Amino acid sequence: MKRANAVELRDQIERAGKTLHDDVAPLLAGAGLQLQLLRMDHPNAAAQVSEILITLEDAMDRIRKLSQQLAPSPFTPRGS
Amino acid sequence: MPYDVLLVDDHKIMRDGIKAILGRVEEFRVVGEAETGTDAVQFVKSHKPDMVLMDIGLPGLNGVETTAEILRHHPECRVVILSMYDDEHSVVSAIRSGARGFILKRASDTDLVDALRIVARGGSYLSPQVSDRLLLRIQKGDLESKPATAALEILSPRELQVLRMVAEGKTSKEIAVMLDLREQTVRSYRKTMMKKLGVNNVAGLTQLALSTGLTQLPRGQQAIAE
Repeated sequence: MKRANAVELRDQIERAGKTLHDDVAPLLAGAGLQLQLLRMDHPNAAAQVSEILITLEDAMDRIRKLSQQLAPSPFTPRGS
Repeated sequence: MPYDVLLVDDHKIMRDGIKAILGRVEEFRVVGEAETGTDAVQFVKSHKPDMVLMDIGLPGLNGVETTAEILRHHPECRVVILSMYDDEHSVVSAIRSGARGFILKRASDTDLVDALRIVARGGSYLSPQVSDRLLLRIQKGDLESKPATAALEILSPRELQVLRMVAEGKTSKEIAVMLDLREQTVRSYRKTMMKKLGVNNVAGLTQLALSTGLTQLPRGQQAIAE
């Protein structure tokens, strides 16, 4: 029973890591691209947009680190 | 003449953003979009774009496998991998598949255009964050010099591709659909691999794929197997 719970918990943790990586991070990256376009179209707002982009990059970096801890990239050999 | 580019990513927001950025650069023309590796392979076969900007983390046939598949038929096509991952295994896998560039999804618009421009002109490109880390690992001497799949070196890239899918439990029919092959051809690959590797059944192939790190069991099955 304990073993089954541990397995289930590990699955949930890995799923959370994959969701962060596969679903949440690409949305933020997509939003980042849209902000870069906004900066090109509105040079007057470039400074503010750049600040938002820095915050967004910080968020993406944290998500990337956490997701890699929870679920390593599929190209990582087993046991490394 | 602009370079024709195919965008491959399962997230529409990414494709839309990249398309809008490339729409402002005269050198590139987005001629198609694909959400899956299988669709990308078909598109390249029929439209022969100059370049492909490929998400590494596609569901099903992943970006690395799709790149290898595209280049097998169209070696002249230039592929740039787009990745959330920045670990060395992802980079090395991408380069081994034949990709000419590796750029992180958090790259700036100018870096993205630079990467495509350099690769379009025959060069290679790695995101600075990635190349810095690789250089450091090489300087420290701890970057793996051989693939983890050394025991499988006698297999062709195509056989490795099929082996990974077999080990993941995919049927010959499913593999045939994903790789656009006849089911009989997939069965023939399986037989050839068994002969080359000296194993008698699918269980033996799976065990080899796991022990060499070519593929991994889902976490739940790992615990059961341990």
